Amino acid sequence: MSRTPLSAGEAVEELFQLHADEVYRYAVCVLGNRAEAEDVVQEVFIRVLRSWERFRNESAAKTWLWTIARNCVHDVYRRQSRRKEHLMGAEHLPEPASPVQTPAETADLELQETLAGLSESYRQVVTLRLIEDLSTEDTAKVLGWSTAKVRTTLHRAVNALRKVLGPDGVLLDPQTGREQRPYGI
Amino acid sequence: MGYNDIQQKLATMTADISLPRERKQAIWANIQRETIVRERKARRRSFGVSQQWFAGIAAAVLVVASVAIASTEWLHRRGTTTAVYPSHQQVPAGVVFEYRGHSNHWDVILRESSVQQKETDSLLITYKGDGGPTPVEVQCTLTPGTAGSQSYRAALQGGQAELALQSPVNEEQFAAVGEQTFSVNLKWNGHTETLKLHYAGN
Repeated sequence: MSRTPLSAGEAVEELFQLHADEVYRYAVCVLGNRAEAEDVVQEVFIRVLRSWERFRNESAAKTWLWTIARNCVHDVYRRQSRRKEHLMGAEHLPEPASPVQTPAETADLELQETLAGLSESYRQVVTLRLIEDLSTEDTAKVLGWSTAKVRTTLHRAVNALRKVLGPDGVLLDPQTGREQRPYGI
Repeated sequence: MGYNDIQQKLATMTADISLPRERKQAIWANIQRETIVRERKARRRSFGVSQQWFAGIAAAVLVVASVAIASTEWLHRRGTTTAVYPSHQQVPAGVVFEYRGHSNHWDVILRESSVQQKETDSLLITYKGDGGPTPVEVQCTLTPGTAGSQSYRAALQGGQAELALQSPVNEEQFAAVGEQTFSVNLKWNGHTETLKLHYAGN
């Protein structure tokens, strides 16, 4: 039986239901902020909906979606960096961390401390390859890199993670190499 | 730690990162709403742009049209220069006949100095093209006593004046005339003089 073709709205809604969580997780990993990650999810699917007619199945929908997600995340990351620079330039002090209360916040903090020392490109490649389990080829397409660059960057990123996680997977202070207090408390 | 251990560790850390159901619904509703809003804005922008385009094109058309009209006028005048043929031998003695074309009318200019006894006669001038692209036939009658004839009367009496008579030929006809020879008949005081005017066209 042939399936009735979906309208753009229906097709994108299906894509949203299937991949919104992945895009969200990806944005959380790279940006380290759930609220901004939600904005990214929204922006990604708005762009998908608007450019659906241009997509025409020329590439795999998932790769196309990830490329849009990557661009959105990159835009927000740049904005974040500028904001941080501005705050540091103005000698604003960072707000003291609030006491950890929920398991989600605890997990986020652990993740952030793990990824804190990684550059944006390391975070991108680690998230796409190790967390979202994209192939090297798909990761290269999404990031607009060669497969060799994906492999090299991933290798360096994993080495950097090893230094942070330590031999037993316990978070270490990258400066001192000593075990960190649990979740920075 | 090996590669797989790190992957496992990251998978554990990110296992609970997902959008709660109600957040997902809210985000999807926002996406639909925002898409509609942006499409409206885009339509308004493109309408604004098309208005600007329209204004730009209209202005360009006006400029081109003005230039075209100006150059047509110039061409006509230039054509006129080649078309002014006072054929002295064929014109009644003392009458100098000139023929001038403009963008929207023709002038017949008579200079007359010596034929003073014909002051009560009317002068009939007819033009007839000989079959160019658009044969033209025009007839103008100049009768002493009408407004247009005042200077003619003066010319007849005073001996030297200029009279312009406009022929009712519209612009389209004139533009289409092209090269042809006109027979111009001057009916004057009971006799007719015909002169041939060669119009070189625009």
